[in-house]
Amino acid sequence: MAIVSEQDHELLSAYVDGMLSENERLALEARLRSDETLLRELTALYLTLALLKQLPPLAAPRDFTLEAAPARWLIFPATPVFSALSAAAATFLVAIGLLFLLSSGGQQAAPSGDQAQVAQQITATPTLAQTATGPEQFYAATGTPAQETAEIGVMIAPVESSETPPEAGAAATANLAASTMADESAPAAATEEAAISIAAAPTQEAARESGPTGTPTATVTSTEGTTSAAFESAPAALPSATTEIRPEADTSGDAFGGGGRSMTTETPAAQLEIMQALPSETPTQPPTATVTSTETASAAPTASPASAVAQNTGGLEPLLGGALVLGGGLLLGIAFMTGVRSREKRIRARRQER
Amino acid sequence: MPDTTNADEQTLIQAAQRGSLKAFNVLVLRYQDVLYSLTYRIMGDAPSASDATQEAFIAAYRQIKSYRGGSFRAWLLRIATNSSYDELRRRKRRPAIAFEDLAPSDSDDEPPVPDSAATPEQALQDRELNRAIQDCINGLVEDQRVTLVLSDIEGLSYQEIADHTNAQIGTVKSRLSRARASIRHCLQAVQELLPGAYRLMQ
Repeated sequence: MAIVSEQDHELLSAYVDGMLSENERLALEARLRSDETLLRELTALYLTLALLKQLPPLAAPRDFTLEAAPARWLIFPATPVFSALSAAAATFLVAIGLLFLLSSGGQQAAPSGDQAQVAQQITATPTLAQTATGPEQFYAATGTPAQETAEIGVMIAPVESSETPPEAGAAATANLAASTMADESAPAAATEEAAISIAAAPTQEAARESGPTGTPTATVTSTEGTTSAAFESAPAALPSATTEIRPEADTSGDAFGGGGRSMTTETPAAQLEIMQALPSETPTQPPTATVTSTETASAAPTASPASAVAQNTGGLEPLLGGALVLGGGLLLGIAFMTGVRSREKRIRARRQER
Repeated sequence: MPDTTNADEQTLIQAAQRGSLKAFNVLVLRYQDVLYSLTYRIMGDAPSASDATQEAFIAAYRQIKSYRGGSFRAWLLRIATNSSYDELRRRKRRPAIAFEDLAPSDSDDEPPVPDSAATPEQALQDRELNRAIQDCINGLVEDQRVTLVLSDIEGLSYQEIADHTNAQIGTVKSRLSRARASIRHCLQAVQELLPGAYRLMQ
């Protein structure tokens, strides 16, 4: 079989359809008169077309009638105003999402590059063990049962930042002591209620757990008991603890909003000190509160998984928020682009119809 | 009676545009063979062709208000071409092959042919030839196949094909030329099935 070039194939194909210009047609016909191979190719092409054209129309195997009117698609109103608003909303959401992600990423890295240390810092929440000595001493003096002391210690745990510097911690202790003293006029049972009310809802469980733990040795020297109780409460207390760590976070009040009146009214000063003291601290330097008690160190391994989880959850919150907003923005952007495309398609289709 | 038919068709279209499903279904019955033929030639198998046809009519009903006159058949063919492309894409995404599809195709999958054959023998020959041609069409790449079907089976012009497939006229010309050459080579392999006059294709 003689070979015909692809270009000649195309010429022949267009020729049989009458799609060649006058000059092209005349030139090809002249070649056909002398080129037998080309002529055979043309004949074969005609036969092929004849075979294709003899294919019979097919009968539909069933009725394609519609039983019910199909739902019409929801089409975005592709008006200029809608387009502009969609684009603006998408841009805004993406920007907010990125801002969230960037800021949360920065903050996660800022307090300490060493995860273990951060874990220890959170573990050190129980510095309230030290803090607890305030109320304990107070209760020891006033004769309040030690159990309540332990519970109050646990309640305080989330409030007191792990990075509490000694002075701030002391101030906080003083404030707490003062606040507890303010409540002291109430009987022991009332103090217990206050302790529960101080805790935010999630912390309540931890408080109940910590009660029995702290009870046996909940004397002035019961730092161990209080500490372990505080560890248990760490995950539950995390949200508030996290917000406190951030200098710009002003939600700590909200976190305790549902809590006791004494905490919300008395602690701000101490917290403020803590927050002010925080940034000046070298991140690598372990918080003094952490190393103040050897019991804390010994208890740390048992608490580390919980604290690690706590840390992760704390970091995820803004990250998740940012990712959600970013995702929303991207989706809106895609929807917008799809709307624009479908609109262009419709316009093109209409033009072609005309 | 073409004018009456056309007037009748326009009435039906207008009624369908006002939301009459009954009027639209009359149009469906009138064009379902045309659309099924097209989708079968493009898809190459009955189930996919049925899906594409059904999708085409659903899409047509949804878009009926955008029909602004002209050939209703051409308008439907365009929608059916798009639904065939969609079906081909869907098939690519989920290339689920049923167990029975793995077996060699038998006559069950053959499209129902109108009763035109004079004798049973003739009918059998026609059937085999048509199957051989369809197999050759199925062997073409997607764009060439659609172009060839629209041009050489449905009889659309280059311009209409370009509009239907969102391609340039030059592209249509080139696809068509390649598709025809491929079909010709493919049919040479089944010379024994071709009627005497067609055996000249050496």
